Amino acid sequence: MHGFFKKLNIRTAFLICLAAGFLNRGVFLCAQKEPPPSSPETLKLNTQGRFGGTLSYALPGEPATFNPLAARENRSRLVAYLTSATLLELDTRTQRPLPGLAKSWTRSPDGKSVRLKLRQVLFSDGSRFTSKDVVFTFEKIYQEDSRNAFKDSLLIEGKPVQIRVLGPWEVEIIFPKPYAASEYILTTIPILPGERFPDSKRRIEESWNLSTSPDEISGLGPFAIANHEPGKRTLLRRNIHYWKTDRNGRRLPYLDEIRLEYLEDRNAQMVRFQSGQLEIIDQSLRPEDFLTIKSAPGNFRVSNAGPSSNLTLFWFNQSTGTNPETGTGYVPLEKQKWFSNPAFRRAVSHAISRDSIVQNVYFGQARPAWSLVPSSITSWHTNELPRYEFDVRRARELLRKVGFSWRNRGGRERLVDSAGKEVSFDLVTRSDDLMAKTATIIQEDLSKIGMEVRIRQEELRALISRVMNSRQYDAALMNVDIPVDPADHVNLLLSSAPMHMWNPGQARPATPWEQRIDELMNRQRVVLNPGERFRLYKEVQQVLAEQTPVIPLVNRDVVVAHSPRVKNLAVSTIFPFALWNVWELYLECGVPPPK
Amino acid sequence: MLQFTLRRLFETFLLLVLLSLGVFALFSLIPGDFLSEMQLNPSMSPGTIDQLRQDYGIDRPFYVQYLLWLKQLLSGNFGYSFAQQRPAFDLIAERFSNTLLITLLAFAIIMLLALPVGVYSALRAGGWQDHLLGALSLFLFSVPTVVWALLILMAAFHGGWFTSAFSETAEYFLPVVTLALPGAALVARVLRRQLLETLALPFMKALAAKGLSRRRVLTHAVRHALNPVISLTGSIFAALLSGAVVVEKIFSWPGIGALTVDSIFARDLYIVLNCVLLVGLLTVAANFLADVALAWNDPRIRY
Repeated sequence: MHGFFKKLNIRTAFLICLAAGFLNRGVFLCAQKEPPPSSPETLKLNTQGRFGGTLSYALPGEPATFNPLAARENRSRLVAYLTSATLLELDTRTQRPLPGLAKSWTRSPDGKSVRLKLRQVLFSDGSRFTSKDVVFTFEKIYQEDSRNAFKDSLLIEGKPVQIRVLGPWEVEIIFPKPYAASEYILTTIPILPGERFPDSKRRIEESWNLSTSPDEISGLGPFAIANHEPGKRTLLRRNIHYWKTDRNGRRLPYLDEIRLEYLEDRNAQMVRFQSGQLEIIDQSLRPEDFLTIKSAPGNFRVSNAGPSSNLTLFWFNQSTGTNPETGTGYVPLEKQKWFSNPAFRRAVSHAISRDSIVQNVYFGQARPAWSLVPSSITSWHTNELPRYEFDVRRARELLRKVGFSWRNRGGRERLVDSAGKEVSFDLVTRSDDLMAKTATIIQEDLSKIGMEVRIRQEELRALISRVMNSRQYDAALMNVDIPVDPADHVNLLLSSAPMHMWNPGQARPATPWEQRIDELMNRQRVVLNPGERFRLYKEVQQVLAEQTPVIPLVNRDVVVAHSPRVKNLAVSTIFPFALWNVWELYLECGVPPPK
Repeated sequence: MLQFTLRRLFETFLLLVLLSLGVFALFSLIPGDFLSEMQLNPSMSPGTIDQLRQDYGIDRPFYVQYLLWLKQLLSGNFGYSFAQQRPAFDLIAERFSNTLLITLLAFAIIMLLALPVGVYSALRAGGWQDHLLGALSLFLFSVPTVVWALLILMAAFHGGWFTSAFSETAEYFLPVVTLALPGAALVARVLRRQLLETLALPFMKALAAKGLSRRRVLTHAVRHALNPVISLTGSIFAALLSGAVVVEKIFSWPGIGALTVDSIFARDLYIVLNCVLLVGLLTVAANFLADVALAWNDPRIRY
């Protein structure tokens, strides 16, 4: 042995040390360190993985806030999802409630209240979670000058819900009347730490903005904000007090950190992803990126999780009232006659090739839609609806039956109504590449039945203002995100609702079928039997499919590009897609969690 | 000079008033507002959206909004970001330092590249080096900034810069180079032409005839030729600021250019307003500094 050391020259010794260092680092990188012990109140999941590592995730821009109650757009909602928790959680596959901060719950037989037993767990700053935090959160939501989206969801026919504290870890939530979506609503409200808000008079939306020091922010989610570089990135660090464990009773999440990278330019995102700087892109992946990544050399994966909750919808302006600004109807009388005729709308639906949109606009990463409820919303979607398959002959038949005919003008066949007026209209849509391509396909398809369509593209806010406020348009093409529960569809489907897109804010239902939808929607809000509620909502879908006031065209798929290092990835078709089970995700060769 | 400074200050004040009024007027003409997008959210009631409109004051006529903003300004309040729920000043201050950093670095690179290249081209006028540099300058100047940005981004990807130890520096380096290249090409061409004209002037020949060394003659010539370049610096700085909009978007650099574009689309009125005023102010300040530098370089110039 002594001889061996004598023979070692400096260079060899250095190389041995270097190799030992690498070996040690390799072991260190893949080592698993025991996380903080779990408590009896934690939730055990049937999962396993490896601790450590930082996951980089691309977002198309900075969130607007770190405050879960003020989150209105998807970027802020994602941060809220990662840093806070709700009383109940939503099973993204079945859309049924699961235990969350409440370990168990019971709904009263009359459907007017829900009793929840809470977990005895800690916020990320180590403070204790109790019933007081639930009361505080609801008080803040209802605060008089508060303007959060939760307030509207939690006003049942204009009345707030009451919270009764039954013990330090037990509360009862009392609804003003039987409410079918009572459990669903509890899956949406993030619980805030009351102790962190000493100024009780301040509006909650003004707290925890992007200038707030991360030390002042805490939550019950799997991660906590560690550092924010304005406009560039936010670093989230694992919450060592998180209340879910893996099958071995080890406290989750597996990842040490998540780095949210704010990259507005989609090309920059792709470059960074292909360089290995990003592990996951989901929300901002374009259809063409799917093909690029699939064909690019490199160790990447792209997966299609199936249809999202986003629908491309086409509809005609069926507003019946008088425009207060002009004193005339919103649409000229002859157009009103065409647009209010269900046969005309069905003919248009038959004349548009959804397959063509799927293939040419989304490169196959979408599917034809026949219902206002996307198939990703499994618990409410039904397949038993009439389908208006692409059939130009059928479209012509329908039009002929209701008095339309064709004449030749300038070598082109033109559709004319019974009064001899040529059918032509403007189609407004968003100034966006996908919408432009879709509108062009519609224009070409409808020209085959003699309709002249003029495309007008506008910036999103201008478009919404035109469609919802001034209503100065003929037909519209827009993407709409459909919420999971019918309770949130009320604003969309009630004839008096502002989002009743084809004819918003009706004083009384303009048609008998809209009156029927109103009845069904009001009834489904209070029916407690899930089977009965489904039957009611199925009828709503059937009425809509028969009358086609809105023509669903395509349902975009959720497509995710990710590094193969990311394990336990089970992409959901519902927000937040790839990160819905973030506590289970792990990197194949991570670093151990901090001491 | 004092009179000139006072006149400039007054002109700047007028410019800022017109700019701010223009932004308010334009915002009132564009259909939709910051809250329009919320109308697509089935969870938000129209009542809440109307209340928010009242809170933000965007339901009022634009001149009322303008007067209220002026009143706030007197108490040091620059307005509020609707999107981020915090004072506009805080948000702009965060982003401004980033824009200033890449703009100043690009400006320094322009000067460091353009001055030697311009002088060298003039000294080799008509030679192959001059032709080569001329063609290169023309190419650099003709390609739009957006194309440069995308080309440099792709080069960085294929060169593996993002995965190398250089990745942190690349974050700064790429936008700065993209901004600097066209400006450097322009300044080099202007300096070359000006230097050739100066070298042909009779007083240059007189200096050489008096026995001054070539280096001393050239020093005099460069100083004389610099006048148009100095005049140009104000415009170059303004061009850098406007070019930053595209560059910041493509490289996801969090400066006020990208912020302004995002805020225009989001209809975040007070952010757009303050960004426009800040860029206006900087452009005026850069031109003023260029005038001062011109007076310093050429004692014959008096304001």
